[in-house]
Amino acid sequence: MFWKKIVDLDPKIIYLFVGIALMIPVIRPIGLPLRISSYTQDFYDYLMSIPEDSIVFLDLAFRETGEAELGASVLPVFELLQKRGVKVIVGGQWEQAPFFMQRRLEEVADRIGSVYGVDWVNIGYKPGGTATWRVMMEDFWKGAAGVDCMKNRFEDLPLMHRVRKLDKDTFAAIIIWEAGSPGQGTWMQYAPDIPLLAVYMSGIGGNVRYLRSGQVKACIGGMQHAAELEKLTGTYGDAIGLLDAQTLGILVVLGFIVLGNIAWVIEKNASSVE
Amino acid sequence: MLRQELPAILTTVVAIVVFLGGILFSLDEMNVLSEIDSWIQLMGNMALFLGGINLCKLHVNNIRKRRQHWIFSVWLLIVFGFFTVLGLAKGSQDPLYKGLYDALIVPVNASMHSIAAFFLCSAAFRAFRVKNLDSILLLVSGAFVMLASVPIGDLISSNIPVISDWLLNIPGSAVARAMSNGMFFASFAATLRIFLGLERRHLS
Repeated sequence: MFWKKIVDLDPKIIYLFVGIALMIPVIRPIGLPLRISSYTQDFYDYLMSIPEDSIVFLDLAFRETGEAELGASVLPVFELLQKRGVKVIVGGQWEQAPFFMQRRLEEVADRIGSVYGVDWVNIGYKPGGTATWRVMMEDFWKGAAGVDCMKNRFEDLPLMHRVRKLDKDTFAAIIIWEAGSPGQGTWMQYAPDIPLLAVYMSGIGGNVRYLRSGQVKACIGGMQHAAELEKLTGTYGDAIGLLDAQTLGILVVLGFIVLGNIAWVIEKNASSVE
Repeated sequence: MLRQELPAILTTVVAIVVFLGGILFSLDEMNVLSEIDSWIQLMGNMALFLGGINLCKLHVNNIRKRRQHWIFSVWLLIVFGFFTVLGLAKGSQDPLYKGLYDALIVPVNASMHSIAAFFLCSAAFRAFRVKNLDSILLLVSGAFVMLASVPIGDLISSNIPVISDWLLNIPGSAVARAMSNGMFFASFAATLRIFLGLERRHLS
């Protein structure tokens, strides 16, 4: 009877356990030890190898739903590049992230003394899909309509005078935070000669094939790699704290799967005996 | 003629020009492709505008015919209208526009997405049953990858990340490549049918 109840467990009980598991570490962080994976180390090493004063394009291709996992690694990467004197152009194939990340990027820039227009610029979202990026490859100003996300004219932004084309002579790398499509495929197809780094949502998963083929130079994915990046760069943000919650959440999921299977096997054997 | 034939002819002609542009240097020098890209960019902006009009038409119809949940259509139109007017009048960097967006849209969207964690857990509890060899393989490999994606995996055993990496690098990579190749050929065939005017359902 007990195992039958487990097999037919009310989803609300599962929700309750998941909720508690996610909430506890947020209120009281556990501080699980964190080992730096090879993926994060390679990603960090690549960032460190980008020459000072070169320009990197950050493609924030995600929306609010990806803010927790993807947004967590945008800030350490931005801060590291800016501290190293690498210029940053922020943009996005998705409309939302360049818009809502602006405030958080400004906070980091203010803290480390980066000057908008000189050290970094956010061009925002430009509609038109891949055609827009192809136009930027020929004429960046034309493709981006000559204004940044705050409608400042490129003429008034000193950094933009160095950005005339979206090509390998202008950009040392493109880093994409990808939540779906459009995403890294745009850069692989139309700008294969610009080194591409990628940050994926919920782990690297099947995207590891692009790393193996060399289409992506380095990649990280999910909260764990974001936390490792925070640790490597020494820029402690949300990721390390939230990773504890994710850990407990996964343990609860696995615990329920194991419990469900034990109950299912016992119940099946009991009913076959009857 | 105007609704069916003309768009089909235009599609085929542009497809031929783009295709030839990719292989003929003379077209590249004439900037034909970048000119087409500028047009696509313009059409993308127009499509955004048309999308807004279509959205309004759809929800006005919902309200007029008192369809199920029509009250949400009213709410959508109010919010849509408010943000459009505010954005056009003050710009997207206006403190009120940005403040409302940051305080409402960002947390609401993130919360909606987070709810999936609860449903996923409940679904996994019911779906991951070890009924046969296939489901055992799925469950075991899934458990390794899940555990390796958080620090506890490495704490339990340093082999867990190694096994997870192997699963992702070898079988996972091979399957993902095969699937993406299959998807490419399928989409190529579908695109070719549109380019040749054989597929016209999107025009009706």
